[in-house]
Amino acid sequence: MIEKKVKIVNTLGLHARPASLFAKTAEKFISDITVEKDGMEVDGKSILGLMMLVADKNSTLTIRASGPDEKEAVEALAKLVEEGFGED
Amino acid sequence: MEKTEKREVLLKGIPIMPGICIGQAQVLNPSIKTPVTRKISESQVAIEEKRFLKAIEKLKKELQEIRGDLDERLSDLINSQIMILEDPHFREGVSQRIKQRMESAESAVYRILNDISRELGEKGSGYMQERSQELLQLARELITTMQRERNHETTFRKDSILFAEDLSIQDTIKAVKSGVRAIALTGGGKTSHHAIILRNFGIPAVFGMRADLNEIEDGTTVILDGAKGIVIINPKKATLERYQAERARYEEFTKELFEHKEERPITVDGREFTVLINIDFPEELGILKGLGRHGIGLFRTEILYFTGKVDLESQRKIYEKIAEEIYPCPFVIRAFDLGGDKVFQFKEKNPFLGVRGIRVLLRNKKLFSEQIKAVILANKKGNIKFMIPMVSVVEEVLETKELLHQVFGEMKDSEPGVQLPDFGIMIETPSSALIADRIAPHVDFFSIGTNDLTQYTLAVDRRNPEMSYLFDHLHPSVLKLIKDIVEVSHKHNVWVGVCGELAADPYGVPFLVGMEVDELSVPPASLLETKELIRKISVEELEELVRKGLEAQTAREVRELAADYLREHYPEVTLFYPF
Repeated sequence: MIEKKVKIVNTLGLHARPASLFAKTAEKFISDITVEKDGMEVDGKSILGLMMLVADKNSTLTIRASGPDEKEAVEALAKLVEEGFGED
Repeated sequence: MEKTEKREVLLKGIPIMPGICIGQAQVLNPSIKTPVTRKISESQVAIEEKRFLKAIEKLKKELQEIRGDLDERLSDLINSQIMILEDPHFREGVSQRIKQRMESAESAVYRILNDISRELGEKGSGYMQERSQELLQLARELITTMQRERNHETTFRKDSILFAEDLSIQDTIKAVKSGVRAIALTGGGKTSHHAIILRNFGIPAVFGMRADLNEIEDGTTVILDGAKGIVIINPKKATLERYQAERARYEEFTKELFEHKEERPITVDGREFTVLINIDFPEELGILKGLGRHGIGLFRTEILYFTGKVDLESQRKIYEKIAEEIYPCPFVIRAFDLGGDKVFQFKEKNPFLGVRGIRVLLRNKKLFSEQIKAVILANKKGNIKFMIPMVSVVEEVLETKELLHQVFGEMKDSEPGVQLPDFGIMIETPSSALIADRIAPHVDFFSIGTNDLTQYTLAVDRRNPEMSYLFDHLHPSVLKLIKDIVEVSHKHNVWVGVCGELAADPYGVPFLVGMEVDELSVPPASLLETKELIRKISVEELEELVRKGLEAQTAREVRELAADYLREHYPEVTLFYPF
């Protein structure tokens, strides 16, 4: 299992569009992926789960992946968040 | 919804068709306007799951279709909606709620998306709060999709008492054919078209019921009293026993009617009246065999139009078959009555005052000529009569008559033996009633349509439950018009019948008999009762009743006059038809 902490940088936070981008990216990997914020952990492949986190700008997420492609998964997802989902 | 102690609840509505029914409720999915949870029964679980999945697929397809035309930002938004629909957690969550908590698909969808939306609204920033509304919007769209699908999917349970907000004409027929025993609607008015259908089939019904269907549990025991217009949910033992006794009395009453079914409707003072039936579907004839052979005073042909049987051959076959089956009794065919609430191609602000009835037909001469041709061809035995709806001016009568003769003239040579049917009009507008003397020389018969005549005279929308307190075909104004029409008819030797609901209203029959109309045409369910009623009254005695009725101040007064008279001559009927 690999995990990485990332900070939300885009102004509007993890709303529906970024959440869908995140889930779509996560789906490309075989590994199980979860995202945690303030003790709440959700399935990283579920858009609704991600939205449930209510992750505003500057909040910290912990991305965890476990499986054959866990390394690539965490890297790709962390990059997506750190680049602000191409927003702003 | 918390499990609460089952409490007896009395709901009031408009009485549509008498009869007492005790049975299990089938509640058609009501629309969700507020976050109420509606419970379903065990047998409904699989159906609800299927409805949910089907709605997801449908909405997804719709979203994909519109996505193509949008700019990137908007199409991203649509994409995220599609992803929510595809989210296995969402599906699983809804499915769990349906299975474990026995919630309807709508309730489950609403609950899940509402919970998330509230979370976003409470914890998120301003932007997130706004976005939370989009989730609710998605929930609403899903629910709407399910509701739209509802009509095509619903399976009606045999022997159930059906609860719905409203029913399409098609669903009403489907429900009746599936063996639903009684129907309770929160919508619908006294003479809306499904009311007419239910009366034809003798299905006890209450419309305009004041209730929130979300609060009625599927499968719960209910009593429906169609004569009083009430529904009782979760009846107590004592209530149940009282209604069982009343039902037995009602059954006794109808049994007696059937024993007298062959007796002719001749009044105490020896005057015979013609009593015919109204039908909407050719198939009804089969069901009606038990009533003996009867003429048809009104065949509403709209069903042929809506089922696409408007070509010459289909129409001819149907008309000819019915005409032969009931020969030598008369068969009155009414031309397509389109427009108004029977959807047609026009979008109008006020369809009941717009292109409907004969106005539609004279604008669609091809459709009209085909129907006329079919009617003429079917009239092999000469018992067919043809009439047009919604006449308001003489010109409409003349133009139709000209067309009738023209079509007949073209056919005469190639179709030897064809006969011109008797030609008549519906009188259902105040104007045609007021100029009946000018129309009479051009026609063979009048048929008074009291539903529309009442609607147009009192300026009351007959489908509006809020207005039903004003809608009464026994209002002195309507009675006065009918009296005038009957007098004109007698003077011009024109046959006059009444085919509206008034003819089947036990409080109306004494007035019509007293005015000496020639014929009453009633829904099949009222046939035996109307005949029995005629046998108990006398024309001579009724002259005074008619006079008093015409002088009455209010519809209520007219009804009381009739009630006093009936209590003396046919008390049973006042028992089962309170007013």
